[in-house]
Amino acid sequence: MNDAAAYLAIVASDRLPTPGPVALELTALVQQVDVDFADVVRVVASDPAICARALRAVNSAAHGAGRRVATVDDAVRLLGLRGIARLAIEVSVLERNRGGIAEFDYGTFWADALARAVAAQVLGRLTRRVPADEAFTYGLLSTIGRLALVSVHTDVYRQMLLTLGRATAAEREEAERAVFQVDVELLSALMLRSWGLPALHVALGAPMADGETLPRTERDTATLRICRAAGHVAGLLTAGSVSRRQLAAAMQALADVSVGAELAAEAFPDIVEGFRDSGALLAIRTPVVGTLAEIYAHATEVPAQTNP
Amino acid sequence: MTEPRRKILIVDDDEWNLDLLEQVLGERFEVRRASSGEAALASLREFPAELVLLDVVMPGLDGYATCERILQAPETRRLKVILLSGNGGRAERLRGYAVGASDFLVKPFDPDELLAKVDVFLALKTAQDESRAKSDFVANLSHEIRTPMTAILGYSENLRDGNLTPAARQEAIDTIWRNGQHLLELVNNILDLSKIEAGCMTVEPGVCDPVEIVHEVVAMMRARAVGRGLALDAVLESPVPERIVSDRTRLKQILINLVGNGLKFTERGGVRIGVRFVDGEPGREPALEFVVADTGIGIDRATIETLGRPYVQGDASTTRRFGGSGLGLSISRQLARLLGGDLTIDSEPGRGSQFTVRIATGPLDGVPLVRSLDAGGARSAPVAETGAPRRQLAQRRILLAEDGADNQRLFRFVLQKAGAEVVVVENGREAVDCALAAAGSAQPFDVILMDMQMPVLDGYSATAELRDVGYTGPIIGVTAHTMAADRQRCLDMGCDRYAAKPVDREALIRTILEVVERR
Repeated sequence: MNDAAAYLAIVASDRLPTPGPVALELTALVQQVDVDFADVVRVVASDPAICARALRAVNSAAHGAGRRVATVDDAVRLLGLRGIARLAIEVSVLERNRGGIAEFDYGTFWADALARAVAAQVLGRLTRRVPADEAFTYGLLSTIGRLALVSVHTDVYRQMLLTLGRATAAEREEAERAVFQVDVELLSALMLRSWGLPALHVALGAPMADGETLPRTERDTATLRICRAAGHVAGLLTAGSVSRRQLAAAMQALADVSVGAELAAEAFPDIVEGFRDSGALLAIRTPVVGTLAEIYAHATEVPAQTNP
Repeated sequence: MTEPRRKILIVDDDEWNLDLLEQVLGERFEVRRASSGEAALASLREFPAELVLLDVVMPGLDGYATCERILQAPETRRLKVILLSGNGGRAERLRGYAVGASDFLVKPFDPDELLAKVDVFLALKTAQDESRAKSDFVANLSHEIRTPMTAILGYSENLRDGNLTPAARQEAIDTIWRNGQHLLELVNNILDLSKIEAGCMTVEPGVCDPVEIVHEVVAMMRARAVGRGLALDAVLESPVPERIVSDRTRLKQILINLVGNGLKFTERGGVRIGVRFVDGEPGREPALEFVVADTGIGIDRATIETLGRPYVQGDASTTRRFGGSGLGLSISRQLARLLGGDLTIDSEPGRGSQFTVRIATGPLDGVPLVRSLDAGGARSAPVAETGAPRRQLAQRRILLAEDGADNQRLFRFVLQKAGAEVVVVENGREAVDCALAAAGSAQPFDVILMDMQMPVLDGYSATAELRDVGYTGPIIGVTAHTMAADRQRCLDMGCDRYAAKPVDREALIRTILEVVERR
């Protein structure tokens, strides 16, 4: 399935969704060995959206700064260089890709992405294997490859949506693989790597363009597993109704990151609250979510496959 | 459900006394008259009075004897009886209490005193009835809890056995899950009812999409309907607001409960959710009504009046036959009232039931109306899993003639997902050669999907050539052109049907089945 040419064609396209120039400049800056802190602050300050988001982040209760932060300088110090670069990418990718073709539901896409982000953040905190803020960024952008397909292969994606009609998320993913010959997870990982976020690409063990593969760390693997578990949890938050099969898959994915059923039930309200609050902060419309017990109670049976 | 008027039977051989009693009571209560003890007993067989005002001195059965018979009969032993007599001496009162009367009123009576006593004894009866219902409920609940717990523990014990077959293991897991889910629903209902009774239940109004909510409820309950062989659908009975201000979670809870009850008490037919917008009623705010109608066993009038009270499911035989705790309707009614509306029932035994939930919509300035259930929700938002994909084209062999690589992959995906075997060619020439070769073999194609715009030999020419040499297999033309003339040209060249790009997969599968099954 992994047709290298298909991936290359997408990532080389000038229609590929990218972070804005400020975010890319920040990403490049923080990777320098002798980066000048003042330069980072200057670049951040040049983008009001990034500034605002950075200040909101450090002043949120979750960040626990303890005092009100009012300057970009202090915000960057508290977030750290890599943290501000990640935040800049989040902000710019979101703001530059809120809309496009009429047939693609960007609202639902970003709601799902945000649910993944918040779930990943909580899982990062629970497992202590990936910093929570880093997990948030990876979760948010772990399906950015789907937007790439929409942007680069607009007509074909549109036709695919119109042909499929009402389809489950799983069906849509199958169709994407069949039609575009790419896997959204790997495509997203490739894109994130180009933005200075290599963990998913490394964890997937995919080779670089020159055939080289980088050594995989436990943190990389944990990031991938957390993102996958977060994807399952996001499905519980954003689906109108949930099947038993989805629930079982979500519980299994959480078990893979050492989060058992009891811990999941305890953490679920934090995820729901974070989802709602982040949605308000980022102007992403989020569905109302019940408790995990309610989701269990209303889970649907999915009949076995039958032939006519 | 509107509160029914409470029923009182007045018994006196003097018509003037009956007139007076009816005048005092008739405004607030539903009153039935009887002129003798015998007539009173006959009347109680079909008039479910809760309280009897009984004259003592009557020919035939006097008041004492009548009271005694009323309170000895199983169907009427819980009624309250107030004796009326012109003689209020000690002996008469004691005799009255001895036969079970609740009170004794001396004529001429004070109308206000009479009404006060009626109110007191009806309130007492209500409290006693509810206490009894709670006891019955707890007894039923014990069964409702113990049964699934027994199953869970029993099958868990089975799972400890390492020698279970995979099928037995799966059955155990499925049973544990199912019973756990039932228990969870029961616990949630009990907690909800407790909150309601303590006055702690609140709602959280927010902007919500009523069409989307109906879609979600149908998706959620579809599998249960299918499992019982029942239909479940929804319809807009009028254009409805695209969005309202209400508590989405609680509204969904009400609809799930009503649909679930409908499916539970229906053995043939199905359940339908109708949605209508009610506006312009004088003195009333706009409202949205959800009508859940079923073709089930129906409910008699007496039972309707008890439904919506906590702990009451109807008659005991219904509980035994259909199971259940009897909480859902009461909760739904309370929630509907919290949402600014109410829940009403219209039903007849044997003719199904109709539950109407009316809720407030909140402000609707600038809110457009939706005219179709299909208009709700973004087109490309993923739908919930409702079951494994239906393999309608299983064992069908399809020749796909399409030159575009993307379309080849898309069509192949759709058709293979529906169970078909798909062979792909890239132009009309290959289509003709492949179709004819297959026709002469043991594996002819069931249908050809022929793109009309292809290199080397286009679809029109390929179709015409196949028909000229006597090929009779079904051919569906696929064209991006939407002009009627182009579509007609497909048919003129020999296509059985055509499909316009972008092709909707459900429509395509339906078309394929139609042409294939016609042959």
